Amino acid sequence: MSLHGQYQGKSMKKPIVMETAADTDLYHWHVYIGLPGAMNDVKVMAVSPLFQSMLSGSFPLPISYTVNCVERTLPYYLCDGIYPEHPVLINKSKGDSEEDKYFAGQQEGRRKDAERVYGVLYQERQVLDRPARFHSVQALVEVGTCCAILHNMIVTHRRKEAHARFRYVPAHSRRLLLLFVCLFA
Amino acid sequence: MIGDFDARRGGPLPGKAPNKQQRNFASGERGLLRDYFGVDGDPSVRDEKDFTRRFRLPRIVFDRVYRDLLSEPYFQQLLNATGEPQASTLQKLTTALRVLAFGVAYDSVDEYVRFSESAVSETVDRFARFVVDKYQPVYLSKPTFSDLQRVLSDYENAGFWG
Repeated sequence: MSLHGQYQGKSMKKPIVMETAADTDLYHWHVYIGLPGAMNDVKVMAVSPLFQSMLSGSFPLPISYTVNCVERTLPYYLCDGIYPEHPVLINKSKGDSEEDKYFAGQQEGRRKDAERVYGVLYQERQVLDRPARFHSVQALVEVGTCCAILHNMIVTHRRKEAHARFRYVPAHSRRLLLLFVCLFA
Repeated sequence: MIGDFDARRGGPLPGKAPNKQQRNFASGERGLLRDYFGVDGDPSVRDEKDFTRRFRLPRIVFDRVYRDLLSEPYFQQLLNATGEPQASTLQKLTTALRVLAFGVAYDSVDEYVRFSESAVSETVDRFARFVVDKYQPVYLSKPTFSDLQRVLSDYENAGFWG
């Protein structure tokens, strides 16, 4: 009972917080779960191992890509409004100029991915969406991580399937196929 | 804590309710096999789409988790003191997946798996721990260089250059 207030979320419930970094296939690259629900996104970020490793410079590997004909090496995360200014966090631009508006539109379009992450995860594992029946926070954390891992297994499986479907047919077998058709035409 | 699985929950102690006489695990398992896997040479009642819907896992992934579970002591099928077989690996896996997928009450999965409420609770906890221990190094590791490059190219294909 002493931890009661710590877990009190903004909607009078007692959730725990889950932080996820995902890509456009909704593959979860990073899951951090277990902080009490009273913490907001910025506070979570302050203690998250992902951002800690970024601040210490150990995590984002130098990778080069080209934006607007400028070569950059720092990977970035798209995020929504409340995150602070930081080189790896790309916020929605707030200006009024045409450029800013265009960028904001594009960024919002991609940010839908972030909203899809939890939409899909909740649909897939409804235990995350319902009042928890577990005896300890530790059990909750393990179940949350377990759900993310099962989801990743499914995504990997789908990727392989899609890959198999569009597999490149080697030239000689295509020629054989062509030959076959000719013979019976 | 989840660590102390050895803590006794109920069971044959003075003052506790006795175990249910006829758990009949075999009938539950037969129902499972009949519906999703096919038994006695008959094809399964439900098709592949239903399978993915009910277990929330594609069959290939399901089979893989099942094979890995077979080597876990808790998930193996045991005999009780009277020599009757207890719940099978398939039933325990189904229990955990149903609870995770639908967030249902623990005693509502009883029809297939013939488990008591506390047994379902323990199975779910153990399954979560098994998945985390077994698959975390593969499916929740830090992205490598080529992973990052692929993510970037995915976004470029989607029309966002940064």
